[in-house]
Order: sequence, then structure tokens, then C-alpha cells
Amino acid sequence: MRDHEDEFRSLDCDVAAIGLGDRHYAEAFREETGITFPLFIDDDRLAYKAVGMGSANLLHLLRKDNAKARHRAKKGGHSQHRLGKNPLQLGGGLVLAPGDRDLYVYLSETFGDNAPIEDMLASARAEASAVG
Amino acid sequence: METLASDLVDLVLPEVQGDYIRLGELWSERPVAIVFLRHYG
Repeated sequence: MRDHEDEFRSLDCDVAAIGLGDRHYAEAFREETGITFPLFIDDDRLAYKAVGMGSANLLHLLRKDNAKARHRAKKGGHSQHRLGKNPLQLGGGLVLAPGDRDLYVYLSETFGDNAPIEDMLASARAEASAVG
Repeated sequence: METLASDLVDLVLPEVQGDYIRLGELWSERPVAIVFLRHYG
């Protein structure tokens, strides 16, 4: 997401992230990645539950797409830190707009299944065109 | 109409720099792209 922050902002769309884990994890993540956009701490998974984001199960670790995702992440220089207390929680991506509108919703189905940034950008672009 | 935005709008979470923020403030004036991380790292 940090690689596309400027692109979102050029579309008059802000960027934020919500993470699991405590403040210690979050601060280390922010420092390591150098992100400057807001990073929220949702240790109790309140936001995750509110939008119905699911959890994986251990069998997902055996899926081929998970192995591919891990390989892709490693190749991209990403490494996984210590697991938090909810290692099976899945993530996703939303683009939300004034009037409490959902412009884009993506709920991950398994590990490594991340919201496609291009699709998130496309929804922001469509909104910018409609408003602009 | 029920939306995920309306489910999240009144939720208050701490930002890593210390402030507690009502999530609805993030998209009150312009859109926001929010990534839900699976883990930090």
C-alpha cells in the first residue's frame, strides 16, 4: 500500500491501515516500513468483526495458493514477524466514501489473498471522476 | 442501506501515535482506502 500512497492521494483518496497486535507490534511495523499514513491498532479485532472478516484454518497452510503467496512475499523481500495472538485472522481492503458508502470491498479468503491494489485504485479513480 | 462503512463509522480505535479516532472521520470528507493487515510484518 505504501508504494501506491501517492497514487491514491492524487485521486483525493486518503490511505489508512488497521492491524492486529498491540502498540509494540504496530510501532515496530511503522518504523520498519516507514509508512506515514494512519495505522490503527485493533487488538480486540473490533473492526475485523464489524465487517465480517473471516479466519483461516490450519488446512489453509497446505493450499497451493498459500505456498505461492509465501514464495512471492519472500521474493519481494517481505518477512513475517512474530505471530500475534490471532494468527488465523484474515485481512482485506475497503475503499469507503462520504455518506458511508462502500466503494470497494475485498475480504480475503485465505493466507496471501490480498486485496488487489489496482482494483482499489480503480474504485478511487471512478469516485474522483464522478465527483470531479 | 446497510454498508460496511456504516458498520464501522462509530468505531473508535487508537492510532499508533496515540490518538483515539472515530473511524468515520477517515471518510467524512473524502474517500479512504483502508487495508486490514493480517499481521504486522
